[in-house]
Amino acid sequence: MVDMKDQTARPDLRSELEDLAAPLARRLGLTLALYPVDGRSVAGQPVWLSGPPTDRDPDGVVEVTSRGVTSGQVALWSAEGEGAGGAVAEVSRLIGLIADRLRLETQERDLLDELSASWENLEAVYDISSDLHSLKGTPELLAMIIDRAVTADRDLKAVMWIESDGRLVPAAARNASPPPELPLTGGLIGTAISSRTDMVLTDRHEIDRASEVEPEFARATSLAVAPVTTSVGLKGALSVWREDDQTPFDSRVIHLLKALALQAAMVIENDRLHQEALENELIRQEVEIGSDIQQSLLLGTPPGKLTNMRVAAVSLASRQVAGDFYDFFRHRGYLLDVIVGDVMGKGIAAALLGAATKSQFLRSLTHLTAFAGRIRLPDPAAVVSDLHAEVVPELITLDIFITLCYARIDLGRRVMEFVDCGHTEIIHYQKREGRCQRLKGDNLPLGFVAEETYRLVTLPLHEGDMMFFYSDGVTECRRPDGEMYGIERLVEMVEANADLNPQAVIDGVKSSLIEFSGHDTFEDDVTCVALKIVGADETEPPVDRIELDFVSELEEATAIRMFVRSFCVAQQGRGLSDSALARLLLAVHEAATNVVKHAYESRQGNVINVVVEEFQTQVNVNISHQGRDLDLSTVPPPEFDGTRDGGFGLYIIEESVDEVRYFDDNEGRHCVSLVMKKDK
Amino acid sequence: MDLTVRTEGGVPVVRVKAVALDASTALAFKRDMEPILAGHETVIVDLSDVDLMDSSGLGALITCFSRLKSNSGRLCLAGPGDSVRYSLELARADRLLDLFNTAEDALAACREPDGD
Repeated sequence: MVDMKDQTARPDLRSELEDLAAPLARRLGLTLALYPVDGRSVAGQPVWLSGPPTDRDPDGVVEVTSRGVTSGQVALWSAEGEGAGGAVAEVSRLIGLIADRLRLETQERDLLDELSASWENLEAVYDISSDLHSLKGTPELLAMIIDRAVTADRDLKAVMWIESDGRLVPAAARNASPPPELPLTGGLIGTAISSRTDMVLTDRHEIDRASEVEPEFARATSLAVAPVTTSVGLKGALSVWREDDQTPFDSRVIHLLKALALQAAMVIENDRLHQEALENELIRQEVEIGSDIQQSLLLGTPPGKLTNMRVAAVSLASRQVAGDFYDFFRHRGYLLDVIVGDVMGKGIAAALLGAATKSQFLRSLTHLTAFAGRIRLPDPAAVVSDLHAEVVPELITLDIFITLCYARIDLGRRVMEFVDCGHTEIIHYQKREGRCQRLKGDNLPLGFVAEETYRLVTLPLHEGDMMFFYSDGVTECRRPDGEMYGIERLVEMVEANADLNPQAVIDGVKSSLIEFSGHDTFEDDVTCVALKIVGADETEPPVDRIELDFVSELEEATAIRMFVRSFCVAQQGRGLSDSALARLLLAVHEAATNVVKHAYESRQGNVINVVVEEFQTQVNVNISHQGRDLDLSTVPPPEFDGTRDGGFGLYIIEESVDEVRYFDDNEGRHCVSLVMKKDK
Repeated sequence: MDLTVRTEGGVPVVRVKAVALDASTALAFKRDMEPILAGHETVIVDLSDVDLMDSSGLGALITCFSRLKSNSGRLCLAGPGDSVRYSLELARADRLLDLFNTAEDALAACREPDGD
């Protein structure tokens, strides 16, 4: 560490003169005296190095300077009466050489000191740099830096000032109680910073003046200020002072202080950048949490195991949390409810309202289902009416409204029924026409009026048809030139991709929107639900086929089962495992029993036609009849607690085979088709 | 559809002699079980001969179960084949009814003293 007090190691002018000049002077009979000098004048008594003291005028004077300051005068007298002669000149020259040598040595020592101070600076800076990368906090780092500044002298005082909000605040202090803030300009430190000049004050008057603005310097005897500006313009200064009368500060102190001040400023700058990044991180986390809430509370999961339907859905959150929601209720494999809705407004409030509305749907459905004496699925209009009663009074109070569409796809009856409350139109791709129609209801958004009668719209469905539900974030998405995406473009997209599966259609719309707007985030939530009616693949002919007519009697169910079994056990089991075959036979038995009991109502003299076909990837059993068409929506679901002994038939069929279809064939017969996929 | 009954230790073991317990046999099954259910608390139904049980058969068994339960009784099923077991599992009836591999296992379980 730079030791600013220690002078004892340094060669002394006096001892050099005594060793080298005095013996020569004595031999030559000269008198030598060394006068100490303070400032520019001789101060104090001379030191007589040779010869008797005299008060004659000297015959020669040699000034000894060190670091540009006169540190002593050497006076020479020749022997009485000889005057300034050769001896005086010689000894003067010698003293000059001694002085030169001293000066050089001092310079060398100074340089070495500077060098070692630089090393110490580097060391200090290195220590602190490596700590910057450690986990030490900013206060600790600043404390370390300030400790470095005062290590030389426990009584040294130090304050690190840093710019904050247009003024200077003390970031760290040692042995001092600085004021809470200083002006950024004016005052000693402000001046040092604005002029980018290091300041060293040792003059009492200057220090007094400085302490008018900076009272902590009131008792300073010497004071150093090293200003610093970081690469991003953060201003600061490290001030160090002492209050005793020791050796004043010199350039080495300043170098160290500058290095430390820069370190401290960097630490603080780092800290501020870190705070900013942390705030951004917190905001990002909040948005992420908001988006997680959105995903889990507002968006239902499209069901998988559906009979002859494929469903896909996506909701791309806008920059803020918003109120788009959707949900699905699978009553049977062939009976699915879809709800899509949009809460007007943005933010957490809209999201919460959306989530509450979505959950109210399930409650209304359950409530209505339980309420009916004979268990029957309530139609969409009844559900929306119940929802209205629960939700609309609140909406009116909050002055918020919600648009929604509640659609039920019933493949047993091959229809879609829906209620539309001010929502976007449903895009219905009709496979037979090869183009889309747009469907609307005429109910108002929820929250508009206190009383509303909900109207059910019904339309037939066919294989290959697709339903596309969307939020207005899609059609109102804008291009940079201001034009909106619009319904026409969306219809085009659906028509273009109508032969693909629903997920592919949605992906296509999403890409199209991103390309259109030029961004991959949107102003409003972008929500799409796509649903396609599919069937068994009838384009390929069967590998093998048998067909037989049976009499409609309960006992014939076993015969039908045996007929199907005999086909399936041939040809190494037709690719069906034993358990798959057992399940298929159970479903066949149940389906045949249903035809006898319900379609023909156990009447005599009717025919049940059974066709069994093997395809590449599956085995089909077709059971057709000309009895009553089964209204499957009126069949109650099973109870598993032993309280009812009926309702298992349809459930067993659906759960046992991979696909069940109910349809009419070309001859007008009602058909049940059971599909079992082959093992891979 | 025929039922043969043997009683051991006061517990009747009813062997169902039918290929299928289904719509065509369920009614007869219920009718023939009635007197047995009326006279005992615990009844074992042996299904070793039954290849298939459909929803009607299930329904019939559930009816028997309810009947016994209302008198704090117990219905045990013995020897269900793979297909019958599958039907029971689908209907989650395997949680309501006690299933045993053989009639002997069922008898052994029924002779154990009831817990508190």
